[in-house]
Amino acid sequence: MQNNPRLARLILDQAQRDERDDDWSGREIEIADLLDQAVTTGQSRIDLRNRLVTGTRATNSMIYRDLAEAISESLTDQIRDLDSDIAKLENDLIPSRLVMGTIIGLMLGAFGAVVYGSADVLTAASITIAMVTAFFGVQAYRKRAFAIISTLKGRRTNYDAFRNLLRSEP
Amino acid sequence: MLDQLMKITPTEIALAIFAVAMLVQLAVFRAHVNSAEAKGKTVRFPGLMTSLARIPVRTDDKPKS
Repeated sequence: MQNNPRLARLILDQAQRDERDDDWSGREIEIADLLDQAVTTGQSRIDLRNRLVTGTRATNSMIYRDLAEAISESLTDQIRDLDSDIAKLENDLIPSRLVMGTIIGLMLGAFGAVVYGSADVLTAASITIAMVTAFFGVQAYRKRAFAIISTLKGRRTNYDAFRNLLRSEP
Repeated sequence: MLDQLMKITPTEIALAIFAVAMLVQLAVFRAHVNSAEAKGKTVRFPGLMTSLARIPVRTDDKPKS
């Protein structure tokens, strides 16, 4: 929120720039970072939108709708990419659950094989240790995957909200 | 004891194959999660700068929205 004046200034400067100037690579990173922070709270989103509205009115060389279209189309691209990342991660989580079940089955199987006499204790113990390690590893990465998914979903929601706000006429 | 250890039974082979398969699954899952994490750290808006720079100048027909 406190960076909104600077972000609005950067966006408006970029919008008034000519397409053939291509010395904006440093600003691109700054705008992306600031925009990502600016859309996290509702108050900040409204504040940024109002700054862009007053900014475009002050420049006298472009209309707000063009600016809103340019930003919201870029947000749409970003939302589409986030959706595909979320879908990929969710797809990865499905086999990981099966792996957890199979690991438990293997531990039981190793124990049963010793009892039944078809495996010696040392082999069964080493397989069990490897599977306990694998079990906690899979669980840790599942937790991380869920954390990433919730972060990505939060970002997706923020971008979507800002896109809707930009499109609604002030 | 050593005789017992040297004798590899089909059950042990099956258990070992499954265990290796599960470890490979873990490695694949780990790689996917790590790459997703690395990708999610950097925020980029591809095309935003170009589309902003392409905004047409409209001073004649509608000066102020």
